[in-house]
Amino acid sequence: MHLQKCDGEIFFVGLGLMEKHITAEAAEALRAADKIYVEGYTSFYYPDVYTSLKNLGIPEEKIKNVSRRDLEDNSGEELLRHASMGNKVALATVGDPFIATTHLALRLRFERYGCRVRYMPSVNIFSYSISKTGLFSYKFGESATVVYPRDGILSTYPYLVLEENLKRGLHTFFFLDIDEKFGPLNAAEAVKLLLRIESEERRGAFTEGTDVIIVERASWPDERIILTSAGKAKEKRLNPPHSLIVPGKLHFMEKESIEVFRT
Amino acid sequence: MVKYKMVPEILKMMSNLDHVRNIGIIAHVDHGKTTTSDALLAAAGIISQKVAGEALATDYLEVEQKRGITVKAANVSLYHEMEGKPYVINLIDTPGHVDFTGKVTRSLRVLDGAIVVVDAVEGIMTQTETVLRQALEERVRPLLFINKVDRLIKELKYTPAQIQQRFVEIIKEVNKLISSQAEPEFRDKWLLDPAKGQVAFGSAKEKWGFTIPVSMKSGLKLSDVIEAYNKGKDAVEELAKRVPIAEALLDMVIKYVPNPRDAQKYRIPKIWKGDVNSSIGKAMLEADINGPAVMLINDMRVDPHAGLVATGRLFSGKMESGKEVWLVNTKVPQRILQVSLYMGPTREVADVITAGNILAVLGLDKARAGETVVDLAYKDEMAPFEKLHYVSEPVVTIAVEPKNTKDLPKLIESLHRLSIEDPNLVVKINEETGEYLLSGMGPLHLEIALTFLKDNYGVEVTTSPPVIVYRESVRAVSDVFEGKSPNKHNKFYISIEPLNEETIKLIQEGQVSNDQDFRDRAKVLRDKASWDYDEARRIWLVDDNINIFVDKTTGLQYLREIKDTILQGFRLAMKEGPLAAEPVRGIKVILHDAVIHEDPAHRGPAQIYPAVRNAIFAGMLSAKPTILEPIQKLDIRMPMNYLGNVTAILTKKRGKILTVTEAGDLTRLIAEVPVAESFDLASELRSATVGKAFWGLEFSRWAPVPDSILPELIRKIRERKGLPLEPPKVSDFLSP
Ligand SMILES: Nc1nc2c(ncn2[C@@H]2O[C@H](COP(=O)(O)OP(=O)(O)O)[C@@H](O)[C@H]2O)c(=O)[nH]1
Ligand SMILES: [Mg+2]
Repeated sequence: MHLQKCDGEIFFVGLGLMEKHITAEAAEALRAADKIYVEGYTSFYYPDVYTSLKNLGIPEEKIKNVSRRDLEDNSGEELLRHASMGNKVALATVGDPFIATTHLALRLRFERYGCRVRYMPSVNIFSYSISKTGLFSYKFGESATVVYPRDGILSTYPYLVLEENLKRGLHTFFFLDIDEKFGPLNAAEAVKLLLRIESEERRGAFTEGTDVIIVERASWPDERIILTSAGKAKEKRLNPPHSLIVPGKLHFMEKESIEVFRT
Repeated sequence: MVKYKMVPEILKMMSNLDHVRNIGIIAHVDHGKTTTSDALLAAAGIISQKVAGEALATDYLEVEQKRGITVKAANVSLYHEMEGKPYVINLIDTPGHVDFTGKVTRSLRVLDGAIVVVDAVEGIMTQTETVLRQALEERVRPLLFINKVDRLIKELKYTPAQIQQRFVEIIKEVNKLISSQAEPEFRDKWLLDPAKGQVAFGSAKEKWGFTIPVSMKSGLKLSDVIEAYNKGKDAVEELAKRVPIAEALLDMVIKYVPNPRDAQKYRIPKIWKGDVNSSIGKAMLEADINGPAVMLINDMRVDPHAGLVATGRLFSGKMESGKEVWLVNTKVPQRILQVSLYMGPTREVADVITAGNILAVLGLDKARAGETVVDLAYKDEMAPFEKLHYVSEPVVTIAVEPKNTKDLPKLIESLHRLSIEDPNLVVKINEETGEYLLSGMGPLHLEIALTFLKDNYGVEVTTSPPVIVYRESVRAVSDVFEGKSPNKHNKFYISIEPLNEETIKLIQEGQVSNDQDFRDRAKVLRDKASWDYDEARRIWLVDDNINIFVDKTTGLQYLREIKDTILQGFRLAMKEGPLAAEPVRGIKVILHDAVIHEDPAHRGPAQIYPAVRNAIFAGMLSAKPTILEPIQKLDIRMPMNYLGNVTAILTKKRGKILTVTEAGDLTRLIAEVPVAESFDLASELRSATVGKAFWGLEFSRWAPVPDSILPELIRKIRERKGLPLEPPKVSDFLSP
């Protein structure tokens, strides 16, 4: 497909984790946009992405829902086409558009075509969990996603990341997989998967005694933060979505801050 | 006459292998395999006292007279006395059609001798040649029965001298095949000498037949036979009493087919790839009943009452119910629930069956034809007789629907059974239309399956016109193409090449397969298909459609974690190629390098499959892609003056004439014709030769369609499948 040079604008808009996280800047951009593509796991939002957009006074016809998969396949082209015709197009993402996504590829592509690209940041599960637990952000190492086994293979990558971080005394933040069929991976299941990797790798990075922090339903009214051992966590009945933190070496203030979540 | 016997009597004979023979009948289609089997059963079948006692005897005899009872049995055991000694002769079913090549070889492995039936009028045909060659390869000793001699008399009005001349011609031709195909140590021993009674002449249909020793003893001359036909029906029946075909054939078998123990001594080293000096090997060489139980299954059938029945030969040890065994190919333990022997075409339960015999067992529901079964204690030491390789390459597909919608459940059930019994038949459901699709190795193969469906399961079906399953392939080496995942964070660098003919052959024959040690495989490919050894060591997968995936990357992180996902992407691409969504055949896919996102969340199947496929398709489309079509070999004999007509038809049908030779008074022509052009070939040939020609067709090979018809063919297939008419271009698979 031949595209002429892009005259329009593309906004990468973060919606945060709930309606009140929408920044004034984001609201302005969304109102200004000719077309809004809402992307990602919109059900992980309080109260509800569409209600919140309506509350901003945005007419429904302007909104189109796209799956992440589809965005990668076709809708990326659609966005580009719209923008090329001089329109303002918004890509609205739950959380922050560039945390734990692969949207950088889209941004670079839009920029290559000469679109004006703007970024409206927002609260995301990563920074939210760090702040909420009181852990020091500079003490986090690499993060990773714990994924469902695929084609019978369980990825050991999250374990390797954890192991490296622990060696250096760093905390590890785990995103949890979301599957089209199985939905969001429950933290209790994620802990079981990590224990399963441990039973194969046997290097002691993640055992029943390892402390984990589970951030459940971040920023929802029924949000919970739980500190417990992996052995107990795997038996817990939990209500997703979740993220999971394995603390490294704790500063005494960090320790004091998280111990209140111990169950 | 049918004999009534008790199970213990038969078992006693089976325990002394001098009294046992395991044979089969092989023939070109319609030369008389079924008729001969029926004649043997009618004369020498055994039925148990039990069956007789249940007053089924008369029913049995009635059924027996119905043509084709033997067709349905995996084995028929016959009872025969010669020179006052009793014998059990197992007549094992061999497929009547060479489209099922794997199946022929498999059944030959359990036989020690074969009666080659040849139509006296038609003579040696392609299938006779093919199956005879296969028999010799498996060290099965051939004997000859020249059948339908009545046709020489009634139709051709031959004189005794002419008949004799015809016999000589046929025997000469068979001997020529034996001397050119048999291994040196068997060649001379196995050449057929009619004077010794190694060739029988007769009519299976009219149940008379003799060998030269028989005719000498009884004083029968060819002129007597002609005279019987001149006199009429009664005289011919009289002839059948004087020289019954069953007696001639069974005497010949007992004299010249070795007993199972003698046969195993020289056959095991040939048909079994394991170490003959191991304890298992030695036990099989000796047919040792105290050795470990080893059984080769040559047939799996679904019995409406008993479930899955495995029939095969016990090469060593004993088999009894309750025995724990190991399926060597499937790699699972199973327990024998029941063992039985054959009485005529029916099974009778036995306590124990011993080495060298043919038996049926229940309980092996995980096994398929070709499986090797061994005593569980020997599971780690046993090499299989045959590595099951599922290279099934369907050529034509039809949609089937029951005539009566009520029969749908029955149809589904019987299609399922058919596909268990014949692994070359593939049954699929078209998800969109809900149609049942039946694919096979040729139009004839499907025809046989449908007949079977009707005769054995009583299901009548309507069918769609047959659709040819083409293959997609390439004819050149491609550049390396980059395939990106939808999220653009994973990249695969892949090139495509055609596999050479030698490699394709090795895969078809199962000499190169997936479940093979990678070093052994690399050696075979280096020695027999001129592969680079290091490249061959890096094969990740040999797929079901005869394609190979090679990993040439070095030191890539996370590659191991996504290996299976990459291979699944490869398999999906091979299932439906870029040109016309037909299966891909005969290509080598080489992975040269990759970029893999470190976080598994961004390298799941949804990312990897399209990335792999895009690179493969771009490569294929730039490597002179083409469509392969199935080609059949036509072997036709006719009076000389029809050669012109036949040639004209073949030319019209894109046929290629390979040879034209003289065969007696007839002209024999061998040609290749695309399956696509051969659906009405039979009727055209018949009318062009006013019925004076006879021929056989068999699957020959896959060949690229001529470039001149390629674009049109692609468009036609795409149209049928509801795809955009224009095939994609390389650029469609390259992402910006
Ligand atoms: N005239 C004649 N016809 C025979 C003889 N044996 C078989 N046939 C016929 O040849 C045809 C094919 O025989 P069949 O046994 O089904 O052959 P198969 O395909 O090898 O099993 C049938 O119509 C038989 O009746 C024979 O000795 N004489
Ligand atoms: Mg037949």
